[in-house]
Amino acid sequence: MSWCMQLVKRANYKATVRDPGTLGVLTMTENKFVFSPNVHTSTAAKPALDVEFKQITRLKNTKEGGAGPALGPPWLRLSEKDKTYIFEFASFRDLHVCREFAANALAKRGEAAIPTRDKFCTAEIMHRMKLLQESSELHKLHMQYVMSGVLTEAEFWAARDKFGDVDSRPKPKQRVGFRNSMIMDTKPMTDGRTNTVTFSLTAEIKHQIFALKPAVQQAFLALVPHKTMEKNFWTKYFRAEYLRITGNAAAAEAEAADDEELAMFLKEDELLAREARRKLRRVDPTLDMEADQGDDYTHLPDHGIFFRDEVYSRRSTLSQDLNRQGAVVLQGRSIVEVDESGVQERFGRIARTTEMEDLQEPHHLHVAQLLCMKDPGDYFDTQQANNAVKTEEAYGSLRQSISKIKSIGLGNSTVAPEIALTIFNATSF
Amino acid sequence: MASAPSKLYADDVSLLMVLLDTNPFFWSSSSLPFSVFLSHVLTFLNSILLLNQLNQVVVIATGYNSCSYIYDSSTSTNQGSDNGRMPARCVNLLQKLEEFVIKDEQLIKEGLREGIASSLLSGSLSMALCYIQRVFRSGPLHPQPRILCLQGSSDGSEQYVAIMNAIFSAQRSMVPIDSCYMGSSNSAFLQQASYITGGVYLKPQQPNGLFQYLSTVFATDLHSRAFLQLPKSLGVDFRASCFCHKKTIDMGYICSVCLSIFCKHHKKCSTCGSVFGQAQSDVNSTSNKKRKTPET
Amino acid sequence: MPQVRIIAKNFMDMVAALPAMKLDKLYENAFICEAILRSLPPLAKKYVLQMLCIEVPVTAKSMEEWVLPDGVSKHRVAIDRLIQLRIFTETVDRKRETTYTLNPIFQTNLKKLLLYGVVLPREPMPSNVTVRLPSSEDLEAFALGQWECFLLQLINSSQIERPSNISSSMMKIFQRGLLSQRDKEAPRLTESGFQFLLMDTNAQLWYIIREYISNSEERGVDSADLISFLLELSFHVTGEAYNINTLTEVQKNTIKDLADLGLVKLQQGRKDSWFIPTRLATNLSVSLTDSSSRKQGFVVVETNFRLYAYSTSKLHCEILRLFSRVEYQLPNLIVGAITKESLYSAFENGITADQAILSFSYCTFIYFHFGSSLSRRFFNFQYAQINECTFHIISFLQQNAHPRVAERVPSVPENVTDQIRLWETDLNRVEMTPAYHYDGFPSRDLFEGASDFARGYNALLWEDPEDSKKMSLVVKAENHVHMREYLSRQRQ
Repeated sequence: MSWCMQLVKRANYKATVRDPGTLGVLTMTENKFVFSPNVHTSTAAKPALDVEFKQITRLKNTKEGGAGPALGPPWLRLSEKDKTYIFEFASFRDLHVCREFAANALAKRGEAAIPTRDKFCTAEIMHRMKLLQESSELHKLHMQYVMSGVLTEAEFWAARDKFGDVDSRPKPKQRVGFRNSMIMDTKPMTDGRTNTVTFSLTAEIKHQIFALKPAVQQAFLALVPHKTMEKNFWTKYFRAEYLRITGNAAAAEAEAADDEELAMFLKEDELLAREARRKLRRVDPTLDMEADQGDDYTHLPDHGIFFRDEVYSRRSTLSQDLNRQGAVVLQGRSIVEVDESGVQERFGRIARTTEMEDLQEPHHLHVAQLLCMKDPGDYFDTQQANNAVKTEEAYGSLRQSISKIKSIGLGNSTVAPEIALTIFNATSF
Repeated sequence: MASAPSKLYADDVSLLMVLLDTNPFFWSSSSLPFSVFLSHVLTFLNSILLLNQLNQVVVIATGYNSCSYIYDSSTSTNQGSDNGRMPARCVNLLQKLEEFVIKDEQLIKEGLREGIASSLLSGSLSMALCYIQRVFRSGPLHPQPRILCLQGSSDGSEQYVAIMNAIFSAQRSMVPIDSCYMGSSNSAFLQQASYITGGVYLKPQQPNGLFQYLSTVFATDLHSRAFLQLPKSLGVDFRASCFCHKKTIDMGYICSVCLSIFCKHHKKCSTCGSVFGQAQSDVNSTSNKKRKTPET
Repeated sequence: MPQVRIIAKNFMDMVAALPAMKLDKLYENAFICEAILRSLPPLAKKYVLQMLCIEVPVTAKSMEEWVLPDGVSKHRVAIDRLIQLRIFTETVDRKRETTYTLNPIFQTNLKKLLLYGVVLPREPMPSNVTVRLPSSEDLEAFALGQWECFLLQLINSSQIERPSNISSSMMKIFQRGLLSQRDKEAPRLTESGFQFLLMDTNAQLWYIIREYISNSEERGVDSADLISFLLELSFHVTGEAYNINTLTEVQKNTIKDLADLGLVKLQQGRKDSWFIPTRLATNLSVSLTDSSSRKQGFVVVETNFRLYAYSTSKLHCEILRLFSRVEYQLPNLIVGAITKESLYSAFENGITADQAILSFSYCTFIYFHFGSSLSRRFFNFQYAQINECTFHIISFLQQNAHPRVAERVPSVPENVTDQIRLWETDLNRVEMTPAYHYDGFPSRDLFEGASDFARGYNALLWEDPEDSKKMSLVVKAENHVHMREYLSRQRQ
């Protein structure tokens, strides 16, 4: 493999569970992970971590869904023989990305590590150069202090970090897109001579599969590397795909009965179904006559939207595949990843040439608060705070009320005569 | 000498469509417990059915994730003898309501509608209107329909267009929408609904006397309303939501062709496709945009 | 306008006429409270409901505040009715302020109904005892059959096959007002009798029941008990069997009469006997027609005034004969024609009836002779009235329209209904006003002064032409007092 992946996430590092933690940036590469705290204060300074994946023996993380906000932010725990590293993330998405990355790295740890220190440094230098080019002010300062020898290069950059709580490596706000090619059906190749079918799988395809089929991603996170090896996982996946393409329902069922992992792939994608139902609820009732002009779907067998369960029990139709593909392409990639350092440089260039406001990080975050439009919800949703109430509790109390009436009857519905009279007099002006 | 056969149907025979808000988030924070609210409402429904043998009551639950018919006095036979604790119809209704709440809760597991605590009022209004249309088409002999919204949760601005459509179709078919709002502030949607359709909007000052409000104001049949002065609300919040971002606005842009509302200038109306012309300068664009001024 | 409704739609007037003691006793029964509440005018119902939780007197002023100018009369009617039925008690306190209180017994009973529901007056008998209950169709057929038989007997038709067990004295009571018998002539239907036959079954039932109750005291039965039993009966479930032994002696006698009318069906088991309420009984507490209880129609009227009635009923034939010329009578079809003559005879029925029943107060002319001599002369004004026959005939045809034509609007061709109305107005060319006739004025000045005075009240109906020497004028009766005052002033 000629490329090296690197993942940068903001995280809170804790040595133990009790530890309040240090905010900083977690950088993962194929072989190791580095954590650099945001602020270097002399007293509380924790040395920046630099641990190789080779040493890591166990990997644990919070499960999504079961945990409510009470359990705190999602965390990832990497354990050595005698030491643990706990990283808390802002969101589950960050967690999953890191977890997947770490799992991948752990899976590969047997392979020889390629020294990447140099590359890291090159990347760092590239980044600094870019920053200098972007900001003439910074460039001036750099000239003033470093070139004149007042500060060392390292001191200068460390001091700069204090100014703003910025990533050592800025995330471009624009996300990397997907190629707009259909990979829903990854086409197998047969060599014609032997009875084997080959699917080619690259990292790109992997991500695309994850994006298109969230259920597969979930399964991957759950199974790899504890229960099954990555290679095994993908073999199973493509086996399921192959059965599906060939439409060999009987064979698929037979195999699914034996192998529950395989069965999982053959099942409908519950996540997508749920998403679709949710979207359907939010269909904008506004009429868009222009968009509908000339549309005539009546000749198609399933032109209407019918989100009955039967639709999901069948295989998803081509139109659904197309829609999903389109949605994913439009959504873009949820993962910030850098395939090559060259790409990074290219982004820098793009960012410089297109000075569009909404694509840029705000330069002066600390100077002024952003002016926001007043939340429209304030007009309407005066009871926003209610959302804090747990849904189970809320529904529970509703059901309790109903059974309360069932048991005691309507006895408490009488209005006290005094209240009744005051109301009567009040309503008649 | 009126010879219309509908004369045989007494003037005060009513069809009351009750939209019952079952939003759990509202009721868990409300000062009036849901059980008290519900028992007042049930007593009220009993009294409506007591007034005339031909009166009909239909209850639709306005849930957080779904809506459903939970009671229809025309189909449920009241044969099941009353157990002496409560009329048989209430037992049936509570049973259906409980099933509905369980179903509604299951749906929530598929994901919260972020940051919105409103109920699906647009859905239940539409269901009520559909039911009324069916009654209208059943023949010349039908009870006088009206809708009563017993709403507590706040308005969902994203439902603006749907709710307004429902209101206008109610207005067209001359069905008044009464609203009894139990929330803390006023509901702009229901104020508008009642104002446009000629119904009554009321926010009880003493929620624990709900039955008194219901029986004094909302039990009045349409025939008697011609002779009585029912409470009028003093002001109506006429604010609209824009079609583009569903924000509540009191000033905005209106398409001069189809009267769609937008919060900012667009080149083209997204509803009817009318081109608004170039908006290079303010001077030029003033001819294309109109200010929606609050009406009161 | 002499518009007198002989036939009351329900018997709440009778209930209202009961003495206070008996009324209070009636309200102890929750069913009666329910039935009476349902019989009230819409506004009165609302007033009861809003007073349900209030236990102190409410001022009349606070209730009048709600009433729009258009609704004052309705409000009055509602309040009067409530007071009449002793549901509201009116008190005037020292500050001369009127207040109303809801009858506490009535209030408690209604509250109980709302909160705890209805407890049936008696439990139906278990089905293992009553093995052969009639199906609902059989029961319906039984009820209608009994009722029709009763009606035929009532109008003294020659078509009766089997006379019911109703005693002839009882039958006489029912016939009172419906039939008139002048010396030696065959009894004729009066106008009310005519209207009665054209009414729907429910309204007919009310009339008969009303007569039955008003007659009860003569038979030694307390009318309040009877009312309470009849209302209670209406809350039983149609088609269920109820043991006769749960009834009192008086009620047992009553139920036999009711069986003759078709309100209940009696059955005898091995040990017990029981009664089965029919739809007629359970509809008693409904003051107006229930659309679902309406029988299927059978009449087709063509634009050429021909009338086809698909019916085997003798009663239907009798009714049609009242206003149309029956041409053929086949086993299941009656063919007739609506003609001017047939309608005139129908109207005539109505008119004779009116003359018989209405007092002369409307058509009395009193001639006030000015001066010493008092002479009475009768103008032979043809008496006419806006009668209800047309309304009843048309609505009978509409309500009983055959399903094939019932869907059409209008179900009876417009040219036919219009023609019926035109024929009727042919008879009503004259309008009548009670009036006084003044003549014998001593001077022309006085005569002209009186004439101008009457004109000032817009009361002058007729005066002698200028050149006539008679000097007489006709003034509306309601202004007679003013005229008299004026004339006596002039005399002095």
